[in-house]
Amino acid sequence: MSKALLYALVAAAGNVLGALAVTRRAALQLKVIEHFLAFGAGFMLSVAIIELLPEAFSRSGRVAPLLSSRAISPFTSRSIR
Amino acid sequence: MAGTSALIGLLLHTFFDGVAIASAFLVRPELGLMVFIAIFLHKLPEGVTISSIMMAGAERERGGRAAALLGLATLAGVIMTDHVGFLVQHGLAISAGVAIYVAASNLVPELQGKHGWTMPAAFFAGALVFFGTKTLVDGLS
Repeated sequence: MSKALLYALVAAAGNVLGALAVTRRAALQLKVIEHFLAFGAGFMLSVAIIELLPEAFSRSGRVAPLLSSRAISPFTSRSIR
Repeated sequence: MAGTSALIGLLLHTFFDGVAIASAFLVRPELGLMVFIAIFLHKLPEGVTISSIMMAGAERERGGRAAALLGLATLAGVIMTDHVGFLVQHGLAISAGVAIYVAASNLVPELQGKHGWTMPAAFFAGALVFFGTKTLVDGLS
């Protein structure tokens, strides 16, 4: 198994863990998860702007702005609440 | 149905989570690790979202099953990125766009709607921890 797949497996487990908090109606865990959302947003924006974008431009060249534009992204996401 | 359309949207999004992890690991392992942390952190709230939506007026198992599907979509993203040439080259650009869109348009408005100082503090802590980790990783390599 590749390293990326192993990490993805752990990340995928996060989806199920979050759902467990809801199905078990664990109020305290939900409060903690809410803060994970905020912390994750700060971390994610920093990674994307400082690490991913420069790397993406060097790999994809002129089509990078198109691929990472708002024209494509909205189709891949839904409001996360 | 609202639940189904939310599930399809989130499935596409979690697929690109997988693409992001795989293509970041292709660039260098340190970047892969950073992207993994970023994605893992928002996967917990994502699981909360989908199970809450799917459980509205339905049985509990549906919430769990939908979350498991999201996890599977991420794994599919990793496997596809290893095999599809287009994603090998351009996966990073797409996932950078998706990450910025999700964080800035979905996550940040969500925390702005909450009262108190702990949520904004957690946001800035996230950015700070990133800089800390980056400094540490760059120093080691």
